[in-house]
Amino acid sequence: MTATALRADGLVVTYRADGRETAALNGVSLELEVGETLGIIGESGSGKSTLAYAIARYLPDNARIAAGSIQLGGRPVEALGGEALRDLRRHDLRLVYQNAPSTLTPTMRIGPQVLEAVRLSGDAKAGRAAALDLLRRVRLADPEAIYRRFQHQISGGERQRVLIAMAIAARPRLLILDEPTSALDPDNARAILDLVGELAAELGAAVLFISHDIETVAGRANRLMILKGGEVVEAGTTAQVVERPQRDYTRLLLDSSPKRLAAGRPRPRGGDTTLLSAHALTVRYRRPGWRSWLGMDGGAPVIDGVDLDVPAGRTTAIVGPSGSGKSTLARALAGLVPFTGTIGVDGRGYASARALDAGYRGAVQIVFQNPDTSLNPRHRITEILKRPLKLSGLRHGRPEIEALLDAVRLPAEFARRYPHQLSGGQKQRIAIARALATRPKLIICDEITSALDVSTQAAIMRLLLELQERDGTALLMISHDLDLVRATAHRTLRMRGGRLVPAEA
Amino acid sequence: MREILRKLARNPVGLAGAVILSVLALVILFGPLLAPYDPTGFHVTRRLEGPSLDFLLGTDQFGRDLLSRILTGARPAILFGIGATGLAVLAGGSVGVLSGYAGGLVDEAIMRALDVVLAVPALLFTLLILTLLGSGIVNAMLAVAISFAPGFARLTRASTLSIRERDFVAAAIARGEQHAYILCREILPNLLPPVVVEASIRIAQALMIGATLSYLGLGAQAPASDWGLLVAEARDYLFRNGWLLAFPALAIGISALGFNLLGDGLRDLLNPELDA
Repeated sequence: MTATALRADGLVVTYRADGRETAALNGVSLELEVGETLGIIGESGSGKSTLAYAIARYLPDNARIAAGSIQLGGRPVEALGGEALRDLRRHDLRLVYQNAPSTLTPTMRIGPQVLEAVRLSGDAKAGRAAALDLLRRVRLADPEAIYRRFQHQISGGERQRVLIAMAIAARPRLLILDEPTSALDPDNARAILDLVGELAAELGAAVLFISHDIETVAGRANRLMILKGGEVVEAGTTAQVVERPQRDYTRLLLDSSPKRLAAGRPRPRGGDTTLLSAHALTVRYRRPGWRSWLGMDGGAPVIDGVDLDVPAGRTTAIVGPSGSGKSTLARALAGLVPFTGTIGVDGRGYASARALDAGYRGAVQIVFQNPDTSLNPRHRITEILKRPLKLSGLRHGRPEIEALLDAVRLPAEFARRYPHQLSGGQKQRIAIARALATRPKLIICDEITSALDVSTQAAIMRLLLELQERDGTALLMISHDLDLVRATAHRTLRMRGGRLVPAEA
Repeated sequence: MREILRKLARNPVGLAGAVILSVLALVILFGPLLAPYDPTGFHVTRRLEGPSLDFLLGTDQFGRDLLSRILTGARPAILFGIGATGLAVLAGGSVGVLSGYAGGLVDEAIMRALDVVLAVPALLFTLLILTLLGSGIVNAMLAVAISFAPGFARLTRASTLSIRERDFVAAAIARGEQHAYILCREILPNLLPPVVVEASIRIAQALMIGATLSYLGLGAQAPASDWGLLVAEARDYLFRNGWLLAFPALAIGISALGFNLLGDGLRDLLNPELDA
């Protein structure tokens, strides 16, 4: 005998902006039974977060539920207000957000915040022991220590666990997870998801799991629902959706997952010549204070004597957890941070960032993680692409710029646009075009797809691999996504604590 | 530019500021021509009168027409505010940008020095400079500019620090751009919104300080029609003809309000995140 935990019928949510109303959700229905997990999958703009916030009755002021009904445990909640709504939030449903640092109060210690959640959910006299018990249940290694810390003193994974502890304090009937692991590295993410699964089973709570990544959710959810543009594309049991997808869009999402990218990997070309080699590369970050001014403190090494050979025409990947120094390595090789040691390219050695000349800069280019900050918002695309051409002494007229745009599969008229008129994927294509402009031998890709939707990510990776095949450009991919790396790299190196360590097979 | 005007039309606060300032601009350009009487002409028989059909805003102790004096006085008063702020933006802004871009010890030294300057209240500091330079309208403008400059330096430095860390600057360094290009083409355009907004608010303040200095006798000198001077002279006749104080004060207040409103409007306008 099962009971319905959550039921939504024909939900329509509209946003009002500039006097116009646009629908973010257009007639979405779902049903979730007690103890069940429903995965909601969609790319940005699909309405997946709107759905979560509509159910939690926590929409922003300019949004409203225009039609449809929501029932939680048989009780209609779409029109609750005031005390009844507060009651609903206290006892029946809890949200775990994506961005833990902004969800915890920075000026309050962790313990009292958890305790507040416990007291609000009914047990007004609960004490320290109750909060510690919760912290223990989310398997935090040292609950006593965490209890006394502030949010900036604990790691991302620990923060997410604290949020989960606060969420289960109420023994809610429904737990909504909004991309709970997208800011975490894969090992941490897996542990958190396992934990949520166990806790939900223990509480008998239904879980609504929102994500952009079908692979993450597929292993955890009983049923899946694919959203696009505010409408349900496909819904069914996980096995049905993953193994026998009915719609093209579902197939696109499945094909975009990194595991399936491998088919496009180009053959290595040009033998085994080494393009770039770094020897004893070390980067130190200055610690604030007078000692570093006086040169008495060299700073903490972020990159600690790295020896690295990057072969020509191939893809080399560097993986590692956050804080391992892999991004700093990328920036050092691009000449953005001071380093000691030597970098050699084309038989020339460079012993400091200042020594890197135009020849080196033209040969080694970098594409950054976030296309929103890597393009100057006040420059038109023409200017963004013209500068590197000009600096390398190449022709920089309209045909050359159009050729660059064409290489990254963008129409020529984009030249007149500003970056904010482009989507995230298009901006990243511009950033790639800018890197291509100097005809580099090596492009460093610093997590270039992690800010993009899965289908965009797949398209960008395919583009890079095509360009690699066309020009024989070497790629140095910095990533935390092991699946992506396995699918695209010819050789994978692992970084930990500022050193390269042998990758396991 | 047309886009900015179109957006301004949809922003009631900014629009109100723009309307006030348009009127003010007309007065600055054509004020002396619009004045019904000679601002220094005496009407000996009609001294210290309240508003009437002959003298719309009344007359002062020599029988000079107040409306004419306010209309003629707009130009020095407003230009004082704009001039002082403009000089402060040029001086303070460039120090701030260079300091933020250079970073390290240079930055630290410049900023601590500015902290010392900022610790002295603006008006007091202005008075100090004026005692060194001597009174007069140009010196007063310089003094206000000097006392405003550290504020702009802090603002542009803070913005530069944040822009410098963005990846488009990193991309420029990675392709081997010169410092001059990075400063002028990559960083400066992005500094414009905060500086424009801050400046529009500071103009209102400079206007008030200018009026205060004239009132204290350190700025414009009689028989000029500067607004601050008008207020200063009205002090002696406060109880015989209150209008004499009220109207120039109102003119100062409305102008300051205009710049403030436009500043608020520009702040929303130049923020791309508020652009739906």
